[in-house]
Amino acid sequence: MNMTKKTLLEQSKDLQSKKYSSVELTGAYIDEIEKNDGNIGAYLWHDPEYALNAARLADECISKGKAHPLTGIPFVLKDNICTKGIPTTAASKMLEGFVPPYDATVTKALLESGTVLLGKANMDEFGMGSTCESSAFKITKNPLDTSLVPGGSSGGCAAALCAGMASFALGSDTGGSVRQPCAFTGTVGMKPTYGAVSRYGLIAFASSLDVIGPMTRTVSDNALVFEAIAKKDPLDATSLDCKYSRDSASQSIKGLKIGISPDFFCEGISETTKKAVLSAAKKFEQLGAAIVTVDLPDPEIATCAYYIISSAEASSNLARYDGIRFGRQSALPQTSLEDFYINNRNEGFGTEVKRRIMAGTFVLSEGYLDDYYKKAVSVKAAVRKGFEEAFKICDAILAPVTPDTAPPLGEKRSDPTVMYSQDICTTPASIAGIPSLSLPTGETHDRLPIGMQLMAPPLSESLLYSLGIAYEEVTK
Amino acid sequence: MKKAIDTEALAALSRLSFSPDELCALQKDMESILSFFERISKADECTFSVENDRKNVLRSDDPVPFEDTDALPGLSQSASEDGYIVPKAVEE
Repeated sequence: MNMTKKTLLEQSKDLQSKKYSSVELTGAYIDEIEKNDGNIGAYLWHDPEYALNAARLADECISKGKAHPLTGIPFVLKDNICTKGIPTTAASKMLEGFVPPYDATVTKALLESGTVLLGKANMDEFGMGSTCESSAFKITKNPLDTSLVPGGSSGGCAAALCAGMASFALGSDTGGSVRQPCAFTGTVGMKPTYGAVSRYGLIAFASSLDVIGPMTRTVSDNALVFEAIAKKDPLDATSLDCKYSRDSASQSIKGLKIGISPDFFCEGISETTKKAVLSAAKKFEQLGAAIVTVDLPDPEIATCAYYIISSAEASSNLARYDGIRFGRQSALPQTSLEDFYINNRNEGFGTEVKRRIMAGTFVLSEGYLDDYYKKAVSVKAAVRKGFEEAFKICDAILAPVTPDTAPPLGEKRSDPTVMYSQDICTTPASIAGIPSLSLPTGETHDRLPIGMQLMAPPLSESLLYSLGIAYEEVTK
Repeated sequence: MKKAIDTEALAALSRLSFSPDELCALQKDMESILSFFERISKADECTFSVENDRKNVLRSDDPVPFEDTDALPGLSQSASEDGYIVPKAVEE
């Protein structure tokens, strides 16, 4: 079997038993990238020599018996996660050429485990988008069908995994940016509890919602990566005291109650998706779990609140990019300081980012603050409360990830709100700050993957992994 | 809620500027986004409020989420006296 097609756990075992070396494994991934990425466009930065040097060091660690299960495993980072000495652009012209002087906490944790960084993955600019088409540098295509989008905003990571161009990836999820591309590419993504993974070194989009999450090909692999990155970080004030061990992900699911809410099966969700998720519910029941119905706050309102809050926070977070404190400078002649700021921002930001900044400025402006932003914040609290109530009668909630399978490239670009509405299934968990695991649950007749998500109370990632692993084992 | 949007003023507040053609396209986008945001007003309706002690069950007039619910014992429902549908009790 081609070593790049093996799961992360299989690769780890093979490396420890010296079946092959990290240099060989990394070389195999480099070959795949060189063969396929010209067509897919998953990578924004990739340096074979850098990766091979890291692989050599990993092999030394393994030979000295000092290896971590992730030592020698090649991975890719979304390009909004800072990497010391390596360009980090968030797929924006505003940060073109930016080389961070420090590593994000997650980058540091993975590199200290001896992992091999293959490169930085394409994304929607600053994480704003669901198709990977709003990158300032290139469009990423879905490896399963290159006429389709890979999803977003972590679309480059998902495409790299799906095409066998990385063993695992770290993405970021603000309103579904890890879960949705995983659903479109048949991979597995975890949006952890808000605060379970440090955000230090993550380029901010909406600080109260941003979470870094692992993306893998299997649920067991995902649990291994999450174990390496979930910990309290004194450099992130919102970081939680989260000590996760993947040993806790093998609990029995017998007797667990899985909730299904009709709110997630509303008009607009395709019949195929509904049937696929229902079929997963039946499978869980066969495995000994019980299915109950739960009532949740309207996901359409939650989505609306998500877009108001995230636009407001984006407007504030991106105000720092003025070309002086942060960001690129325009070559246009300077007429005044204000014009200089405006020219820098005009040239640096793309269309979708400008739209979100403007929308955020609007909802925060005098006369509209109460009607939009404050209202959205109160809705956020109500959504959280709604989930708390639901979790009194069930252990986890099962829902679709997306209304339908991956759309064609370019289809959703004409009206931005059409694209926003597609996030209806993923934004409630983001607003509530709860963990959500996205995993495949079958295919359409066209062999396109369908995703389901399992949501649970805060810091219940172990429960989600237990459910995911149990499901994966019976559906292999 | 107020629906008027002065895109040019908003651009200035955001430290952005646009050509007349861009402003025209942006005006349309912003109006569409604002209409989307206005759905937040629906949160006033009682259907959204999450009250303490509210029974966390499907209402009898809610649409059934999907077909084949009878195939799932946990979803086999019976109406209670107060008009709500109560999920089947789960055996511990």
